[in-house]
Amino acid sequence: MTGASRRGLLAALAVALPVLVGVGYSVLASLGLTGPGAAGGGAARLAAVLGEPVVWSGLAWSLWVAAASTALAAAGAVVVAAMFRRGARTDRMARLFAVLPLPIPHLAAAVAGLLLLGQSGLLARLLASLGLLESPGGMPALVYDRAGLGLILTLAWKEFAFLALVAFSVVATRGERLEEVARTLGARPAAVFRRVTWPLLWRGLLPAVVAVFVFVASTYEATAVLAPSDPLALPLLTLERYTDADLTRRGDAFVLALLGMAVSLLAVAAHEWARSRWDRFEP
Amino acid sequence: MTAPTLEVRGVSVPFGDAPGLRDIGFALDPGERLVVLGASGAGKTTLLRAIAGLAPLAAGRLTVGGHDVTARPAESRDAVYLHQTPLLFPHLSVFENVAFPLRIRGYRDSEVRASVAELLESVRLEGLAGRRPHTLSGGQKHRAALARAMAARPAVLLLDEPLSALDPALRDEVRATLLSLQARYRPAMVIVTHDLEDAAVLGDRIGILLGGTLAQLDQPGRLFRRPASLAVARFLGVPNLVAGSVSASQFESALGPIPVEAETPRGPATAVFGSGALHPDPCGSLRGVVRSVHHGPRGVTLRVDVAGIELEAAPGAGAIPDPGDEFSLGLERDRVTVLPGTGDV
Repeated sequence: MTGASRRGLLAALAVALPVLVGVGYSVLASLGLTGPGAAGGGAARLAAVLGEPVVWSGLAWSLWVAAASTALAAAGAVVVAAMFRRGARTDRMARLFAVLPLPIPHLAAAVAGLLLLGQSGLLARLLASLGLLESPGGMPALVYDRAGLGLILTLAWKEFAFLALVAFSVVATRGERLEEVARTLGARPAAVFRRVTWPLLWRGLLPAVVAVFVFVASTYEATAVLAPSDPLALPLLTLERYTDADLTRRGDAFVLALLGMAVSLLAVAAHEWARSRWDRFEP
Repeated sequence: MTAPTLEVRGVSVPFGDAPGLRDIGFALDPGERLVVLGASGAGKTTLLRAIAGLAPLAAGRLTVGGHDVTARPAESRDAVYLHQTPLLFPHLSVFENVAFPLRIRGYRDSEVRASVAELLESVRLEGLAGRRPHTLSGGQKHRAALARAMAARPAVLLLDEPLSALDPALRDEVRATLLSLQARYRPAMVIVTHDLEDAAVLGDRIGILLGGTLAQLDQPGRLFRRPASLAVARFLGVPNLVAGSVSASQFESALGPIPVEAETPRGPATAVFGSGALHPDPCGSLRGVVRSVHHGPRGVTLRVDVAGIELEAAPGAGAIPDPGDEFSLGLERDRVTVLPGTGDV
């Protein structure tokens, strides 16, 4: 190993160190080997926490919100990347507008979602003033609702900007010239999209989609502002256990953190598996 | 009389706000290869893109097989455009890349397999059908792209600097593949390049694109021996440009009189000739002193001072002289072209 690569490895290790320490501590705390309520080792805490229905309903709800908002954001990103790809001013403006939500903090986006989508929010008032609702209270519940629609819409809007940015880049760097090739080979616009643009886009977007899914599944701020208390989303449940007045329950939070991390690792592993299948030699 | 495979008539293509290409015209018969030579930025790629339907025309008309395709989209022109780098679809195997034109035309699977197998065999890629493009070498990518282009059975194949990014060995390989595919499938070809050797080898005819217009369109032998203007001669890198003047029926210069055709305009003129036209000759009327000797891939050339003018000459069959040697030179006058004007010669 050269000096340069050794220094690179050390730098990478410095970046990873907090994660490794955090995971190590979480494993120890989950096994009752450290932290308040440590009972000298064993899988009792793991079994107890993973046996609670509230944990699995919270996990399922978080996965639903992550899947729905990521799918909406990705679909929007694909549409705008396919539609607004040219150098014309209108296309450049559209691309700029699409990425405008990027710098907005998630907490600000969540509060905006609450003010816009709540039953006394701007949308409800607007619809009522237009006579489409009898009163703002007649607005369907989009925040704190069990389906998480308000949270899904807010996160989809926020993450759409990031995915659109990636999609624009994929189309600009690879798509345009390959589409030209396809066209001169005789492909009509629909065939170009189906056989070239779409396969390139989704392959190029997938790493970002996985990143967004993993982020949304574990995001706290927007969930705290817009999610219902039943079922309680996994990130909220994790913090609730960590801040419980009964300090012996703090160890539960580490079990939940490891569960969240397992979900993320599974998503990344699924992506790597899919990518290796595309890249492998075909018989 | 059959219609030409490709006819380009009075085509103008703007470069942004600039005039760009102006009044370009030529016609190609089936299986004919036209090489368009031009400096970087001359508009060679723009011309190909315009023919392919990827750049709009400001004026002119394009026909393929006698059909007017000027207003048709790229996919309906029967003209396949190959970029300088072989752009294979990265998400498809080599087989599926070559099958692409057949799949979009709705061929049956058995027909696709047979056709792709034949094409892959003709470019010697039959063992790599299942590979992804990123696992191929540069030459293999080029061959796969050529096979894919031929799978579309185009009337016209447009190649943008197909050999320029390749090392010499790979160049020969891709050039040979290109010529064998063309002999087999007979598309008319327009090939743009800035490489004179590629042009000489690949072109049935060569067009010189200068200042947005086709300055000369001719067979390679005639083009290199008889450039139509000083600008073309300079572009072709003709090494010897000697200023003089035409009076009566001869060109007068420091090299002595050279007979010219009767219609040659009187006045300032330039004699243009390659190094092969000037060589050691004990009976020659010119005396020269060797200034330097250059050894290149295509042989030896001499820089010789003749009557105060430095010229490039061939060493002839005898021993290669050394710098400082003085000797007699013969000029093959029938290999000299006299062009009006002197420019900054």
